[in-house]
Amino acid sequence: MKICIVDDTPINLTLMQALVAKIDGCQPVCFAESPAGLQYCIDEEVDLIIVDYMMPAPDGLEFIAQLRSKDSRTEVPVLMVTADHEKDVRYRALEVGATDFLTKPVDRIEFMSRVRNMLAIRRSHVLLSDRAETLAAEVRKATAEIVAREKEVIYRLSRAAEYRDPETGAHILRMTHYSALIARHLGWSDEALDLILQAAPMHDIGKLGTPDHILLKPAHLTDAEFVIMKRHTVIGAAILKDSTSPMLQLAAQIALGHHEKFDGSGYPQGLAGEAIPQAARIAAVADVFDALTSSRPYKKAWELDRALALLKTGRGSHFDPECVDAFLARLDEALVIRERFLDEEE
Amino acid sequence: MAAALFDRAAVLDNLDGDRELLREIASIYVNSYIEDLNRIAAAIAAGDAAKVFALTHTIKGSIGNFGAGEAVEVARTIERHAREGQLGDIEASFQRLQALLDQLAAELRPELG
Repeated sequence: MKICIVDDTPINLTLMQALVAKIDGCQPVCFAESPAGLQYCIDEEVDLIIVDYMMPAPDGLEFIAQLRSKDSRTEVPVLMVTADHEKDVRYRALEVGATDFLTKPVDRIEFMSRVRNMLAIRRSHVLLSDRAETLAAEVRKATAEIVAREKEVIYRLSRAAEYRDPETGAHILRMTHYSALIARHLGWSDEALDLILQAAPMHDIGKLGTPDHILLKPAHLTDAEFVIMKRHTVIGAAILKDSTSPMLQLAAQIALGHHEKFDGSGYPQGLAGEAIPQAARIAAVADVFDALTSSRPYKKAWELDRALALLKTGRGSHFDPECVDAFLARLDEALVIRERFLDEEE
Repeated sequence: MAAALFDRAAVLDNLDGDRELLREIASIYVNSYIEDLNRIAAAIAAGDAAKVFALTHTIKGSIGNFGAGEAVEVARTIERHAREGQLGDIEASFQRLQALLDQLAAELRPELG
């Protein structure tokens, strides 16, 4: 263990150095000049500091005070060397953070046992903080693994849905980023935005349960077929519901509610206004805007102006006005998103 | 001859019988005490009480390692005068300290051999 000794009196420094060297496994590092000793103790991790009280500045009290002002040096044991009768000095030393004292002139028996005691304390402390650090690192690692695994499972689930969905992966990405864009404008926190970025890709996951002849039909659906098509909202919610994960709870809200309309004319529940979860109201704007501005097997992509006009027309009937306004306010950013995630075929 | 200042048996015991270490610290003392006394004399002449105090305190801390009971007492008296700013009262004590430190050096010299 490394023991730093700071004393401007050569005989005392020599004496303490020799005594410390007699303790197994101890390596003394000596300084006759207090400022150099202090710098060393701040720069290097030592196991024990022995510092004389009366020295040219900084004296022992100032030395300890400056050392303890460093966050990383609040625990290292410090023995201050004083004469027995200097009670006031000892009280002040305790106040500034001395651990214990050594009496001058140095008494070998007392010196050795106090140094050994301090080193025993030091060893326990290092052991404890190593253990705490190891545990904390393991918890961080385990937590990160769980979070990563959760994200991976969700990603794979979304991928599975994509294989069933005639809409492209690029649509899912655009719709997701439009949703986050609107949410940010409405004041969502960074954590909440992180959740919606993960949750929105699953808005159509219920299409896993939609029969091929309806899902892939390259023409308008009959009324009977549309009834079945609408069920993808309920199926999606059934897949995602009742999770303890806040992200999956949000995903379930979006899957169930993204075809609801603000005036209550949507599906599957016909909810109106704020009875529709805000995430679903946001997703409705994002999803419709992207559907309009993308091409489909049965239709061409709409011009931007026409799509925006539809959003404005639907403001307050189909869509939550706040969400439309938020989207329009951030239209520049929305267009950047559209350029960033282009459909591969185009 | 005055009473011995260097308590050889006690000092050696305190050093765990380490004669080499005794030789080392005795050598530091013998080679530096005159210079230390000169610096105290200069501080007294300059009327620098704080410096007299600090230098005397240091030398007191050094010689205490050899026992040196009477010399430590005299040094303490000088410290007290210096702390009270009474440099005028110091001269007699300082001369006494010089004599005692010479004596201590004489007692320690055989250890260097």
